[in-house]
Amino acid sequence: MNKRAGWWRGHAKADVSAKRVVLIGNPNTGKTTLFNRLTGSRQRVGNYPGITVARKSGELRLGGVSVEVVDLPGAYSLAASSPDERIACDVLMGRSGETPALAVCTMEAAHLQRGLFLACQIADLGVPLILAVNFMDEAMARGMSFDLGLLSSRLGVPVVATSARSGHGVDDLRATIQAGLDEPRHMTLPSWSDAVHDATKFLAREIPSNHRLRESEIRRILFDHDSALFDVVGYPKAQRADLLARARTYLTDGHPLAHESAAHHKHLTSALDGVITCQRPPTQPSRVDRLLTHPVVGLIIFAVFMFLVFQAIYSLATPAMDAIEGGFGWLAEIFGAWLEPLPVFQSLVCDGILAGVGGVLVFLPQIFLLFFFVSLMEDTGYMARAAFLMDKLFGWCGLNGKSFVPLLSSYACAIPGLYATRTIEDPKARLLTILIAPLMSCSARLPVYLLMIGAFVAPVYGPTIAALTLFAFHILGLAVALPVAWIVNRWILKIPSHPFVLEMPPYRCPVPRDVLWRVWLGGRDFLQRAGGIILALSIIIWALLSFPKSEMTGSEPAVQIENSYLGLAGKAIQPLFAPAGYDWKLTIGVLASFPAREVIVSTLGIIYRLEGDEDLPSLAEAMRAEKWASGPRRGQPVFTVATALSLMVFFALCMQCASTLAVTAREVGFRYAVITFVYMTALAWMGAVLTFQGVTALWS
Amino acid sequence: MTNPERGADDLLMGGREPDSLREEDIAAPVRGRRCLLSELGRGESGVVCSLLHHLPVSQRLMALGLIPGCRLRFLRNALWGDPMMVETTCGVICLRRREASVVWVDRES
Repeated sequence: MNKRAGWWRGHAKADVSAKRVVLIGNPNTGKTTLFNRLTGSRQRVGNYPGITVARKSGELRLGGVSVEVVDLPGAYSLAASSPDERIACDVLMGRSGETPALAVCTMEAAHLQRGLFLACQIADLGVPLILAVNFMDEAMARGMSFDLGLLSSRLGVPVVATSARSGHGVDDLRATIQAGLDEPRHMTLPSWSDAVHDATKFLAREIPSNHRLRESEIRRILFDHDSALFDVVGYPKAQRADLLARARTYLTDGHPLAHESAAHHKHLTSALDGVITCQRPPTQPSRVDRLLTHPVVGLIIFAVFMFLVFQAIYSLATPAMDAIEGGFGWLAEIFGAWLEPLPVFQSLVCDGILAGVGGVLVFLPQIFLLFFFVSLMEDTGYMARAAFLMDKLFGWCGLNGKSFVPLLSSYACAIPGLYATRTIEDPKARLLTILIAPLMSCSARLPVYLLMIGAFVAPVYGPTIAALTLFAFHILGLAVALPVAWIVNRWILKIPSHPFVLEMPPYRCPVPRDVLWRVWLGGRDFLQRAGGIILALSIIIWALLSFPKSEMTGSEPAVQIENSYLGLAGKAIQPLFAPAGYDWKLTIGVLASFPAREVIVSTLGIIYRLEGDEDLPSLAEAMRAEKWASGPRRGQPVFTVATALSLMVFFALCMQCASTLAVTAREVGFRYAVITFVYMTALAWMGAVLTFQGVTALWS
Repeated sequence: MTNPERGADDLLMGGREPDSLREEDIAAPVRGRRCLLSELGRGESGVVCSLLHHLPVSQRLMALGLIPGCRLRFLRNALWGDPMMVETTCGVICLRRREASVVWVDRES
């Protein structure tokens, strides 16, 4: 049972002496399915230090010996222009932990040459190889047949035919890995020309030897356009460019940057001669595909599909979320009665810990469902088509077509939306999407909109204008987000963007096991990595609202809030919110809702000393009756249409969600959580002030 | 995007230093059937003849299999003409027009 416990906590530390096998290959070659097949449930997911790439590793048991399998992100080549792409090279060279004993390179049978190109690059780094040719059945159905024995003897490494889907060939691969660990075999590559040797020697001379770059790494620096491996040396840009230009003068045969590609492909063309026989011409794209990728019809289908998905997420998750909330309410009652004699502990357990744990768990149903639909879209190959259709809409501001799904799911809740950004390979587009996703009008904003519109817009202007206002506030987030993305992309984020080049994988039926496994891993990951922070934040906020204990009337919640640290802070910074038209009560409400924006409704209820907290009509009346107690506007109502609109704009743009901040910090780093918080709060304040002043000016 | 130099400017992303355009790239003859991949239209097909290697995209395209001699066929555009979908001997690829403008193609009828 020991192992199972570790498996749940995800800390099943592999044996220190365990050999490491690296799984690498082109995207869409069934790598993940193969990884799941090899390691079963003995997996753990982490992050590579300092970058946003998830580090997946698992344990493979080979006749009683445990081997660590590392699943590298899908890649077409080892050329790395960003730290995120460099990770494959670093793992293969042993710069990130132990040097791998063996690399298993997966490739699609139908596109053997492309897969082998990557294999050549790995072999050039000096790592022993096993080639796993996947989707044999698919290629054979297309009329192709293969002589893998011939390929194996020509390249000098074992070639295993697998079908990760059915599990065919996996045992064979396991045996080959075991044999490969005992007796590693290197792929035969033609030796590099004298020109390459001269250029490498030149670079090795020029680069100080204390950086310990190996010859094969120096070749990568030489061949790649702007290799991130050069970061190890840390020269300024101009010096790098000058050094490379001088080294590349040795490569006179063709363009220096095409040298590697030309050499490998020349080798592969001869190695593949006679290996593949193709009886039939390639098939035309099916009618369904033509419909799904049609510029107009395809978009409509996609819109309908996404609508259904979110309808499903919303309607399927709501009962589960209600049940979780109900369960925690029930627990709070039990513990509340039990801890009656200790009011501080009662409050800590009920309002702090249970509310916090409930606040974490309540997201789980949505995250499970979102991961389910996203895995379906990815595994069927539809995600790539959707990205193709949506790219133009997002491309202009540095995002790409894949940003669409995370942004749309942020309309339900930003937390699953942030997790959905993992489908974006381009680190820059992913970061941008994470930065703007919290601006989408999530469902927690709805109670605020409904309260304000119901109290101040609907009674005066009628239901049509009220509905339009509600719609406008849902659009506002996106309308602000895209220009923000453009500005951040243009002037702030200095990460090079990946070119948007996507392969359209053939339509495939997803493997249910893989889909469910990914759903489970996503949920587990959320609990492990974000849960703790969300819990800690809820307890801190609870403490800020409960201390110091008010001495006068302990039972009056409004007095307690007013005299708590947060209440005192609200009173102190009220002048900051005066230009937006807020009095101190509203300011406390705004501050108290920083951990979760929907809290404003209940906080306002408590502050306005109402009995039933969420009794909206009476809260609306209380708010309408509220007058300025002092100051220049003394005696005038606090709430006007201008105040209501300014409050709604503030809530539309503000980062009032501790959970989102926690997930942002876990996904891309603490720095970006701070950036998101600062820019959104600043934007919200400016928006609120502009709205209040603008509307007031227009009205008088 | 008939001018390769403009395509090149478009691609200078992320503050990369531009390599100077090389003579052989500019001089790629536009005679006969030669065109940029981005200019390929409905129902047309061709063979890759060369890439503008000094641009970072071209290495990625080569890794995807767009090497000289690779046959390809235009499939369709997304709405507003961008990105484009191309069928090649190594699968169906979707790429933006400015990325496609680093590939010279010999049209086939």
